[in-house]
Amino acid sequence: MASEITNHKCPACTGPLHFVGASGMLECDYCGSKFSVEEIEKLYSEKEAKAAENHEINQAKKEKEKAEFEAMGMEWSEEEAKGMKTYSCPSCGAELICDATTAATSCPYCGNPTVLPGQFTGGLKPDLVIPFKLNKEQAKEALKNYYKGKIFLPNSFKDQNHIEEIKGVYVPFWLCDCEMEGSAMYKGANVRSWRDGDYDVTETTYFNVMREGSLGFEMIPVDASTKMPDEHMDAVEPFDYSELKPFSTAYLPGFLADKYDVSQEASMERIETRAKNSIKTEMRNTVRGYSMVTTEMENYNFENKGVKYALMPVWMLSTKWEGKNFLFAMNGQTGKLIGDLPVDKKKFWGLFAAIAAPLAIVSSLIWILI
Amino acid sequence: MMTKKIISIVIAVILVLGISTAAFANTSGRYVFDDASILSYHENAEFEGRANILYQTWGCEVYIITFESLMGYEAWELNELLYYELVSEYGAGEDVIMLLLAMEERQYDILAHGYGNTVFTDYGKDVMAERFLDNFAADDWYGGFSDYLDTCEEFLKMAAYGEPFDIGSEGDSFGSNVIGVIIAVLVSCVIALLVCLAFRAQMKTARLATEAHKYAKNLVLKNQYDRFSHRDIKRVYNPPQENNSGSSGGTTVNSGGFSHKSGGF
Repeated sequence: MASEITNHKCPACTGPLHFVGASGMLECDYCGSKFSVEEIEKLYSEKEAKAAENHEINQAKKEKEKAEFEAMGMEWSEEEAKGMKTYSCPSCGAELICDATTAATSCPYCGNPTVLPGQFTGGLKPDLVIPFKLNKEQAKEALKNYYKGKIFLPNSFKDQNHIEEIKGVYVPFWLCDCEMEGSAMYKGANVRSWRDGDYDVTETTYFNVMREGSLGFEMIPVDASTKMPDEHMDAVEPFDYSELKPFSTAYLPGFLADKYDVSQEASMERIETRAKNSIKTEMRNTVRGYSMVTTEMENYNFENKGVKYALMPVWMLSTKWEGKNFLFAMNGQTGKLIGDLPVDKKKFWGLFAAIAAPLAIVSSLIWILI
Repeated sequence: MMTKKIISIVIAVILVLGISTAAFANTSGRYVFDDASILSYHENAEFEGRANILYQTWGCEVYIITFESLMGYEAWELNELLYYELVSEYGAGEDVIMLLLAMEERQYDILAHGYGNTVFTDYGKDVMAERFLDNFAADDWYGGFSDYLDTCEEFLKMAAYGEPFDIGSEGDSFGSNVIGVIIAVLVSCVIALLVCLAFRAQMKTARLATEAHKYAKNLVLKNQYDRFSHRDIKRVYNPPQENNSGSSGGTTVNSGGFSHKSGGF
């Protein structure tokens, strides 16, 4: 079977090439040669086109085989039944079993970074990519720093919690340009009080307030991979869009990459919700000069102005402590690291008592003595 | 008028002769006049001693007077007469409190004058009466006068520290302190909880985004108005509160400069 995989190899020594974020170049682990993305693109465009073509041929072949198997009443292999795909590593010949969405990985036997250009053909090709800027060591260091200042972190967590897996992933994102347009009605009120003889007088003046307008949004991101937890992907935002580059597979060697498995349509609900919440806040902020404001009616329409498909760099760090898994994500561009940590309940209530008790004693004494 | 003058003379005589058996050589240091003879010698001596200490310590004369009868006077009236006699005969000062018991009528009167009016407010005299009346009702004279002297000491002490016993300084004060402490504890707990939750929030940073402000351009308003709708005016009758001594504390003093608390036992 013709190879669907591309190994980016050093033109000087044929050693494996990795994209290095710090230099923005592909570097050879063996001879130290460095190549720009453009150079590698030029070298590999033909190979990738061939690999992609092979991918399509093989896919068609597999579909045909599957239909024949099923017609014969035979069962499909377990991996393929689960939507897995098998490839042959062009370097060592080992069989790679990948998810149906895997677009870049590394061979578990020879370690060579491999790219599956067929995953990015046609409409599946990303428009943009933000290359990794931070490396694995920086991600580890960021995790160590993340523990600092967390006073409720169990003492044993830092010592006993070891990183089980760390991987740099190009996560598929939809970047949506959109506009929210609509109107809102508010009731504004101002209250004035004074004393008139033996009477307390309160005057409340009501106003009908209307606002109609629109709010444009540029590239609201939403992750398009079911493998990635939405909470983690939302929390590593924002990415610096000024560093967006046209997509090239040359950025992928050395990292994992997935193609999207959540459609644009399925992602629109999350984008629309975020956009709607923002225009509600913005509109409400224009209603000023009242002591009280209540919202009476809001009506907003969402318009999709275009969606781009991009790959964003994220370091995923997986740790285990006391049998529980903890997942952290770091923005591979900005270094923002997020993730949930366990809370030591003794420390929580200890601090509560340490604050509440002296505060209660001092404030009680002040109350009694003054 | 004439009758009253005669009675005053009689009272003076009673005070001079009737108590002549008392052990005090210095008449200016006498504070217990037990004409009804309801106290034993030792009880009498004890109360004299205590009253003396109160005067020496707090500068207010504390008198105990018992009479067989009111002799047609009101209790407060007789007590005022006795005060003038004490001033003229015994050199009593301006600052006094006197408890008079009339055994036949089973009436009592508390009289305060001068600094006594500051120390023994209307509310204070009510509380004082409550404390000794149960003893007097049971003919426990020693217990009743002991309560009287205890209460005098307590109130004199409070007044000396600048807060005479009055409405809001006993039960209310205690209640206010309890409420204050409860509020202080609750507020402290809320503050502590907020601080702890703020630190706890640092432990959970993976959250779904709910807004998209970072990606928003400028809001473009195409149409807007703020139109007057209507006006509500509410008038609530709230007259200024009258200064009611019964509820606001203090001491009600008559034209003679006396304050009283009278009743039966």
